Amino acid sequence: MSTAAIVVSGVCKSYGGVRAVTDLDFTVPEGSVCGFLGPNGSGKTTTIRMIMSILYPDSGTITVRGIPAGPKAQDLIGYLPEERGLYPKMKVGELLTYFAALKNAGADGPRRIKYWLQRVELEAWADKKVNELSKGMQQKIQFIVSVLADPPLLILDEPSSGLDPVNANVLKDILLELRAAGKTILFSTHRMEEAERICDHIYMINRGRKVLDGTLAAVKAGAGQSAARIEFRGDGSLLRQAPGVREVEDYGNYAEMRLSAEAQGAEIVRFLAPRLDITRFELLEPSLNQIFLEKVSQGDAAYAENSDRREAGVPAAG
Amino acid sequence: MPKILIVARQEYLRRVKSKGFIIFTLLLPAILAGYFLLIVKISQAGRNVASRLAVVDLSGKTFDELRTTLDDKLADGTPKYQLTPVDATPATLPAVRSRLQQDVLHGTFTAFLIIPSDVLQTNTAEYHAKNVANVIEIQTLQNKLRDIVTRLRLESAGVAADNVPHVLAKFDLTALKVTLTGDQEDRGQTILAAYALGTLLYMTLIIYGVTFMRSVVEEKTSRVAEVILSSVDAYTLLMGKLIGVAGAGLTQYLVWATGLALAGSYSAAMSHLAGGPSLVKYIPHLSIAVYVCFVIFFLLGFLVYAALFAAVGAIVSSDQEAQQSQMPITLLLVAGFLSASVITSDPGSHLSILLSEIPFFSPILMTMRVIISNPPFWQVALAMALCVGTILVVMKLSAKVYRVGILMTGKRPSLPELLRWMKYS
Repeated sequence: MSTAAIVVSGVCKSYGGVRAVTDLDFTVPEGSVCGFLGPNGSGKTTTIRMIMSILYPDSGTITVRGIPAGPKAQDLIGYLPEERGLYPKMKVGELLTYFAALKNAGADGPRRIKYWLQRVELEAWADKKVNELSKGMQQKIQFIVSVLADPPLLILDEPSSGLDPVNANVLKDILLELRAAGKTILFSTHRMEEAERICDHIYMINRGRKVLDGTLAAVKAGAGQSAARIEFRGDGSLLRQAPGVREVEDYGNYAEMRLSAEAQGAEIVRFLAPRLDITRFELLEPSLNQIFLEKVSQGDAAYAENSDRREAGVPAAG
Repeated sequence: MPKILIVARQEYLRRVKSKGFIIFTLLLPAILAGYFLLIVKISQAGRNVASRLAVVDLSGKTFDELRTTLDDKLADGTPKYQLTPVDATPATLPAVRSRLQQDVLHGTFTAFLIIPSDVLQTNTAEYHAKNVANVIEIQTLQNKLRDIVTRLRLESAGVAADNVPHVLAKFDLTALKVTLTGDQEDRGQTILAAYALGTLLYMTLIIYGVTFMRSVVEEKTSRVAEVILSSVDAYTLLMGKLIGVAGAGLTQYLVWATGLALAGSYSAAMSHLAGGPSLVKYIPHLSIAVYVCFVIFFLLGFLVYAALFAAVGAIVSSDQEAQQSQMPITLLLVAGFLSASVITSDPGSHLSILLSEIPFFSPILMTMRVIISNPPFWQVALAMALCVGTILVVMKLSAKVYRVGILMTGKRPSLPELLRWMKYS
């Protein structure tokens, strides 16, 4: 009995000579909530589509609970694609019945449709046509479609995009409920604070390659750098001279300092205390956002270097 | 239930439950029946009114015979034509004519005939009426007068002819088809049946091909394709849709055929009671095997072309584009139609055999060959097999293009791009 919900190993995919995903390996543990992060065009959606067997990898394998990606694996996963759409002229109830049948929901389908319509407070709309619903309601219906058949796994591509704060909150609550019910959830996002709030696990890819993989805590610990926030009166240019401070962003009311790995908060305070009037000093964990930016800019630099080498006729490493 | 049937059922129910389908299915026979009744009524309207004809017979030779031969009766048994002789000479004719014109305008007569004294030489007479569009009456009078004049001419040439219609009877060459079950008379039903199939196929595809194509494009325009494809693969989706749409089409035809059969047996029963001719004789006399061929090739033809419509639907990304891109399919269908003359002139020629094996033409052309001549069984079987193969291959390629196509956004692909898409796994 494997504890891996999804295993992606050695997967490559290119579109007519353009590499979208290169040698991708990762494992989504059963029962975890995983954030799949990366900038636009990094290969997130391509990877997700391969897991859903909407696309097939050029090489490498993908298994879902030990079953190779394909029609059988599809039934185990509820999927919310990045591109949203419903049949506009169908009635909501009919639409959900159809989608439930397509996911092999079985005899339990009608009950679940009722439950979920109540859960998102749309049970009065079951007999209305989809195009009579507001955008927000359609978004909720779209989400219901992915959880309707009660699949053990959920893949959500940018689930919160286009949701207003109220509905985003409903979504967050539902995700937490599903996690409590033991579901495995993989969702992609580029809203780092969202990932930071609910993810156990983080995968980050850039230019089709994995750049980070681990639990949220491990990722943060491994980031090797942190930041501090300081409120003070005095000459802000002195901050840069403090030991271990690499960069300073002075916002006027306060400043943020990015610190080197070996920086010690106490030393910084000892250095600054005689020179400035400090009202508040706080060490911050590196935010996922910072890690993300760091990784992306590193990756871009490496890529640029590789391109340079390619242009110079030297074979690229790896 | 297999997913292909879930898709098919969904597609079928959606079509069959739509208002357009119900209205079209019920309204078309109603419109046709109404139209038919109207024509019958109109043609009968003139027939049940007596015609009061004034006849100016300057020749003095035709009136009596015209009166005896114009023996048409009205529904109540009274004579339809009431002939009144009007005396005139060439000198008084202008005055008589203007008097008769007044009479017709006032309704004393419905029409008057002027038969010139030299009618045997000129071969013409005049018919004056307020309404000169009552073709049936004019035709009747013309036929009777022609027979009388012809008889008179034959008599003056020394030929005794009591029964002119018999002397002038048309000559027919009966065409008999040599078949395995013996000679069978053929009154052109073969060609008729072949064109009937072609027309039926053409009409069906005009209606259902486009419906199916729009159904294929629908997932793309509503952007629901990705959700669907995360549950079923593109081939299952397209095949399911094909089955659903074809099922809806068959349902419609079944409703119409049942209606037609009911109406047919009703009118046959009525005309039997009235001692009239049976309608059955209008049904081409063909063997059961030919009818089976007809049905199979109709279905295959529908599916082959529907598969092509699926391919177009898979390539394009909007309804408008689909409308513009269906031209090649229509042309292919018309090409099959036009090649029919090759078959009719020589059904056994190499060209005929070749053309009737091409899957896009075989539904029409092979059926024609089956009706006209007796092609070897293997040729018919091969044509059917090629159709089935074409359907499957075209659907597979369509599915590939469809899957790659929906994930690419934007413009229609060029031909090289299409070929590349087909190679993508």
